[in-house]
Amino acid sequence: MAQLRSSLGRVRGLGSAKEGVGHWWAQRVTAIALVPLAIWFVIAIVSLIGADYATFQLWLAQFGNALLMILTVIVLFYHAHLGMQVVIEDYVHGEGTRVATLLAVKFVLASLAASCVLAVVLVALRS
Amino acid sequence: MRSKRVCWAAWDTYSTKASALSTGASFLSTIPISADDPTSCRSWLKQSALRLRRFSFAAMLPSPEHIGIVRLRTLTRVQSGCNDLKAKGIPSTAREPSRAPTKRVNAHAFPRTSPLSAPSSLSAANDFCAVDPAPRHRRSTDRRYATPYLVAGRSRLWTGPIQHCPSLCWLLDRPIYPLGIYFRGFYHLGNGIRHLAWDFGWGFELSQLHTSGLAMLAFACGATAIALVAAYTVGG
Repeated sequence: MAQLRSSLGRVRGLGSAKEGVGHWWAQRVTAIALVPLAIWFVIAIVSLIGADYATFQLWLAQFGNALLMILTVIVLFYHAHLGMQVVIEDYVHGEGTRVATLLAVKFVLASLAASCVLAVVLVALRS
Repeated sequence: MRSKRVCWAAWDTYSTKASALSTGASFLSTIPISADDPTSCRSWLKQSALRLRRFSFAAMLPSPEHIGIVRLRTLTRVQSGCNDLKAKGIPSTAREPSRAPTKRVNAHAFPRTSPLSAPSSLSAANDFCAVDPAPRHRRSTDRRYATPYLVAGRSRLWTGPIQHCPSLCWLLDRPIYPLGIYFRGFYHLGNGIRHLAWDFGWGFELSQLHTSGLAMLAFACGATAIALVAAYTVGG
């Protein structure tokens, strides 16, 4: 079967998925978005040092804070996933291990992102 | 109230430590005590704490106060100290350590009620505590600071002399914020911005690479310092 294919066909394989740049762009876009978000996050966390739960709840119940917190969480975990994916694809050899690691990272980071968003919503809506 | 606590913590820790240090044990036993007089017990405790403090200075051990601050949260240990005294026949009026209320309210605990249900104003508000239950002088043993305390690793050798200097005591009592996390975050941020510049095609000359690398390191260190100063300003 392999011998019947032309050299050009073998080189082309299944063809391009046409999404080669998408990953790169997504990583850059999330990186740019994370610059202000991370600075805001650090300022927010530092200013909340020593605060009790009630204070934090009042703070998070404000629309802007909750919005920025959810954005930070989503963008952060997406960016983390993209970065981890690059590292794994570059450095984990062996098809099975690589796919398994990629899947595990995807699941873990998605769960973390979802639980963070859920936590923000629950705390913000608790009055 | 505080001195009592300190006394008890001192007794607690030193009763365990002194078993290993026979010198410490004999040192304590030289103080006279009458078992049926509460005031005598109290003064005995005070006196022994004082003596232990001097002894600890000589032996380069942490002072009773220091140990008291570190270990007061472990009520079980204090309780075991009580049992030791009970075995010695000391009356319960002197034995009972003044400690936090039995029902400790966790400031970070989540209320049991459903978060989306309409709040029944009083009960829902009382489910979590709005006030930090730990007094000021015990704050460094708060749950928030427990891990930094472990990380601090205050060994006997260098806390020994330091804790007898009041100004350095203030320094020792500061919470320790996670320096490494700040630095890693700012390092990644700085390097990410540097990488974005590369993506735009800027800064590929060797001299520029050196400059941007140094600038990134300076940014990481400076931002960490600023964040830590802010943290100590806000959190004390």
